[in-house]
Amino acid sequence: MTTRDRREALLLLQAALDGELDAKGVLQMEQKLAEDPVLAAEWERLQALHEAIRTKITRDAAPEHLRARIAAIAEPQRIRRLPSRPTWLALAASVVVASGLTGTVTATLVGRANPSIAEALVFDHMRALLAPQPVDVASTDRHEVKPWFDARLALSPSIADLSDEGYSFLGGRIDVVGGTPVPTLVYRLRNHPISVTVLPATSGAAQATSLRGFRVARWQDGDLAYWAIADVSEADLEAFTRAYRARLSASTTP
Amino acid sequence: MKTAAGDRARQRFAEVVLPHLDDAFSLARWMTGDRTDAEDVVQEACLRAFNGLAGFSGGNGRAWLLAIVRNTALGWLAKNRPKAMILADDPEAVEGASPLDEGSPASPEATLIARVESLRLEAALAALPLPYRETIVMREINGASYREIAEITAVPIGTVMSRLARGRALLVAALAEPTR
Repeated sequence: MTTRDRREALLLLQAALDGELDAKGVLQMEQKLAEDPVLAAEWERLQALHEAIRTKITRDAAPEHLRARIAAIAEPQRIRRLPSRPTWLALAASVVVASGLTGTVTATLVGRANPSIAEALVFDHMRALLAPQPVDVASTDRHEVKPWFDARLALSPSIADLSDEGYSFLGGRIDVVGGTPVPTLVYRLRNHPISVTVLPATSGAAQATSLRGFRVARWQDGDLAYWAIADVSEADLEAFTRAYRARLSASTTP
Repeated sequence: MKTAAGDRARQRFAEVVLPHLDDAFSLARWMTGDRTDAEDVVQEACLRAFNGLAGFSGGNGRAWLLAIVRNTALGWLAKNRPKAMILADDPEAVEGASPLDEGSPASPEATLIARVESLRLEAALAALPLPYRETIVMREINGASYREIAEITAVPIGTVMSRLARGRALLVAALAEPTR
């Protein structure tokens, strides 16, 4: 059997195991198994594993107190109780409820199973604004923040010092985009936080747009894409972007 | 919200979300590794689902809810255990040794696998890298079809199948390791 044949045969075994083959496919699989003892041995192992998982892994049921809390979500406002622990989850919950976002407005940001990058980042920015602080690590010293990212993420960006341009640095946090944790740096202009998230670049399109009242700018340098989110004017965000890019290309040390 | 609209929302929530709470909880439990953390994730996900119901235009309610649970769990992991996400996807294990290769390390016999203890099997599943673990959980524990898993994880069906193949191969290999 060639490597490709083996790979294909293995994938078909999965389909047979999981009841995803039609009768013709099952017949073909049975023929293959009869002809190939190596395949047949693998089939035996897979069946044994499947059965072991079925009988020996505990099936969790949602505990009663959780069911009660979930059922309460749909109840009228006055008897709905939100978790009192100040976890980020509770804050996210309170963003959604307390800000009065319901129906279609929230649907595009929250209910969508796979939001776009801009939508995901705007939502993270909004949530950060309602938290006690918009960062996970609060420090004005980028030499403290970079090692914090180094310890947590594969992509740990260089951090530009823009204090002489009027942007203070507040620290960093980890956001999630497309299921991947990504680094976000937080600056401040006057009293507006600016979130800068760094991602591996997939497409080269520069963007400047606005979503839910927040300005969104995207640019690319090399193989990294930068997204800046803030509720400032277009001109202000453009100025920030220019300053950021200039500082990064000028600096030789992170 | 004691209105007709409120009643409709409550009813819709009861139809779309409540029937799938066990699946939501078990997915969250295997993604976060902890039942208490899973409760937080499920609560947050159901809140999002409630507020996002208007954006759900029918179709597979379970897949829709589990996608929200999965994304919520990923957010939780990013904040609390980002390193658990670093191996987000190794190159679809194309280069990896297939269990069918000649000369690959001996796999445990089927009878050995059948006799494995619960705790050992659960530990092996918990130790799988996230993409394989979540796929196996959706398939074996939630009973989701390939199409559903593809919808929930937003990958092609081929990827679902290769993740299952790889995850199961890793489990079989883990069970072959001598116990301490």
